[in-house]
Amino acid sequence: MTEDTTAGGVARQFPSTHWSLLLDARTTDVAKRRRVAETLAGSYWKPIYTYIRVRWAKSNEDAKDLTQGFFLWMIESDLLSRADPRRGRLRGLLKSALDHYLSNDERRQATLKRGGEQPVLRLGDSFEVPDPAGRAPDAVLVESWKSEMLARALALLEQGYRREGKVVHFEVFRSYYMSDPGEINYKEVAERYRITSVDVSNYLMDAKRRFRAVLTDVVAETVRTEQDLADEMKDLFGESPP
Amino acid sequence: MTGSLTWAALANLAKIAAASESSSRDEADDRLGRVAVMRGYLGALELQDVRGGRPKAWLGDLLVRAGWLSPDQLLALLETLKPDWTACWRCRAEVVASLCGPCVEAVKALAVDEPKSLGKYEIVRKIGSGGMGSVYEAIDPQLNRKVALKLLHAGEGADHRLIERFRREAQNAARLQHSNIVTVYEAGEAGRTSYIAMELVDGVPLSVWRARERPSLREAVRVIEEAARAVQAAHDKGIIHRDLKPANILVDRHGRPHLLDFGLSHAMDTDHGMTRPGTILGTPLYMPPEQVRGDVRQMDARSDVYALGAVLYEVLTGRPPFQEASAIEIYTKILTHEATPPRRIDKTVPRDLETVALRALEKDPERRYATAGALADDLHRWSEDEPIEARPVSRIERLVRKAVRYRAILLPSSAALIVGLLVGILGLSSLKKNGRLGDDVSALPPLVEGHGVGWKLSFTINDRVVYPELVNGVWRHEAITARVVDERFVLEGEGPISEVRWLARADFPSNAQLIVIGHAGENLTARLPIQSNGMAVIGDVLVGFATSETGYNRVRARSGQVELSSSLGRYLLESGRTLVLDRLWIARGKPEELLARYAERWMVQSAGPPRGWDSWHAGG
Repeated sequence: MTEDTTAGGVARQFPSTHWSLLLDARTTDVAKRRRVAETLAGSYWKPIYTYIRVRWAKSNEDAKDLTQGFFLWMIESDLLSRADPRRGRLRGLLKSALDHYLSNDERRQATLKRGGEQPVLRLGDSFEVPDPAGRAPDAVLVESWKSEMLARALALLEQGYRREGKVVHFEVFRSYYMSDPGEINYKEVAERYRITSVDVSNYLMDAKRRFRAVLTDVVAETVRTEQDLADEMKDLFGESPP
Repeated sequence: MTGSLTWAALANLAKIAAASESSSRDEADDRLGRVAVMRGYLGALELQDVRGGRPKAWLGDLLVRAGWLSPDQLLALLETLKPDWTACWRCRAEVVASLCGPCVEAVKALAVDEPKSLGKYEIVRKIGSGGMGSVYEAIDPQLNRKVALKLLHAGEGADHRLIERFRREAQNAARLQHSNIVTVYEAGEAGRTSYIAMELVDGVPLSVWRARERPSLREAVRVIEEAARAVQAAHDKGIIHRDLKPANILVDRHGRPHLLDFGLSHAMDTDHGMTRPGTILGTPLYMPPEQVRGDVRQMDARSDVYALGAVLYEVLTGRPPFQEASAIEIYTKILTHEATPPRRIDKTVPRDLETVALRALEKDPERRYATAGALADDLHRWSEDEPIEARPVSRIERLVRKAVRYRAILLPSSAALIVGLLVGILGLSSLKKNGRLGDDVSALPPLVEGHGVGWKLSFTINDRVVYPELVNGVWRHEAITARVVDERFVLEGEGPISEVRWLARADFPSNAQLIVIGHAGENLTARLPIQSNGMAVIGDVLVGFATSETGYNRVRARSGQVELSSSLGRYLLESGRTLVLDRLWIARGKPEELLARYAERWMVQSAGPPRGWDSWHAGG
């Protein structure tokens, strides 16, 4: 009756960290490299796709094909073996690789042709990208990356609370922070979950604290050193980790 | 679709992320965990799992015990962190090294050998650990295929009969072959370790998938339809899942569902099988009423239909059908309340999908879809923009059902003794006036009143304490007695209680109250709107009821709170019987100590439903 099941269920789509994965990609084993490409695409296609769409004002389909082509190219190229494994941030690495990739117009055309025929990697079928008109591509990439990290942290927060049987903690957090400003107040949340306003306040404080901790852990997956982590947190959220 | 994050939500989250308040649980532990993540030993998800529910243990020990780090790796990791730290990471003694001598020895002694192989399987890596054991990716060299190997830690009082049942169920489950069901290959034992070898699925639980991929409603519904067809395929072979929930539905990168633990409900159910005292119970969010009642005979394929309905409901509304702070309250809701129609929560939910979900969630199995396949068919019809077969329940019918259900609960109990039911009966007159049960009763602020020495517990309803019958008997436990004083029913005892905090929830009219008066040091009275199930979270005060007829009470502790849930209310609701409350405990102290002292006593194993269980019939 535990909320999260165990048998096989804790297996997750992504290997331990994406850095160890990238190091894995320096292999001659084609199947392995392909798996790496798929995993990276699975984890990061949204920010990459958004960036491509804005930077080159591509149509939905073109941008998808390019996104897909990018991950394949990244594995094929020697870019990874040149990256310094001791230091770095995945976001920066992906971005410079992406710029490099897209700078070759010919390659882009080739990708478009190939991708148009048959998708090589599967991307999500349905997704919405907010209208990025008039925004700088770099800013859009950062925003999109941020959203990705926040969404992952939120999913982890929910899972953690559920595991501990504190469903209401999470629901209070969700009710309060997932709505538009001014839409709901403590009292209404308290009534909805039949707890006191003081409880709402305590639950929210606990959840915020946990959210920040989990978010930092999530971002830690994309960096190599504590300094990188501090820089990345500052760049993304304007604050260094505690 | 509530699964996607709005811009307002993202902005709020970003604001929280940027806040300068500490996020620290424990700074040293946080650093250690993050560095382990950055070095690629494990991911954020696994880190959370390792820490989950064990806030007191040192993370380093946990990481080694869970097999993510070897002791040597841990020591090496700490070595690199040393320059910023002047206290021993483990015991916090002042040291110049990262760990003091004794702690180094202790860490080395932790050496839990990561198994390299188990039986014929070669272990590749650990992919997770759960309450009952670890899960590994492994290779079956004979067949040259990858498997997920779930290990059950033997020892610690492992019961042979349970292991036997576990094995039998696994063998049963192995009969299932379906592309949407995680195949169980075999169950076996190697040394003292029992294991199940199953198909290795590259996927994440449904809830995680929705949070990450933010699928369209159509896509999510397609996944549930596919899951429902898989459930039907299992039913065709006579295997019922009994524990379907989002965590048991893995979705792979192609958006295909894979159902876990089919036919393994008992083997995997920590609540039935291998519960240890003090184990935190999960929430029965997706459990059908017949299962809540413990009516095993009534459980059939339609119980799985209900669970699928609950999963669908959550996809539509973002929350399970019934959601309360404790399992016992959820039980009560499942038995007594209709789920809020999804469109009342989110107007954008398509009407037909609402109808499908509510039909699957019918309390009476007869009214549900007869098969999981029929549910899948209706979902398919919706996807194809065809009319569905289920018909919505009319508002009038809903009201009638509600009335019948309440009558069934309340009227037969003419002389009930326990607070919840007592108030239920007395509240009936006001109920008629108010028109409905289920009015939210928010907790009233504690009201401080001064009185003499000792403490009293009294029940008051509408400023009038009634029910002299209630005190025909005297409750006794140690120094506690109960009697009528000035028309008040009073429990008296000698134990000092300096603070009583009631967290109140109620399904009864707001004028029903239990008043608790505590004295000693700080005199205090709290008004507790009574709830039907006799359950209360009371800060660090533990209150328990037991009767000669109910089976068991349960206690659970979490983060400094002790929470007692009593099956009593549930039983009363269902049986409509009169009970004599023959024991009452009140204790105060540190939650851990209280648990250590009382948990065993309260975890009286239920040998099945209490006597009289069968006498209840919904709707009379």
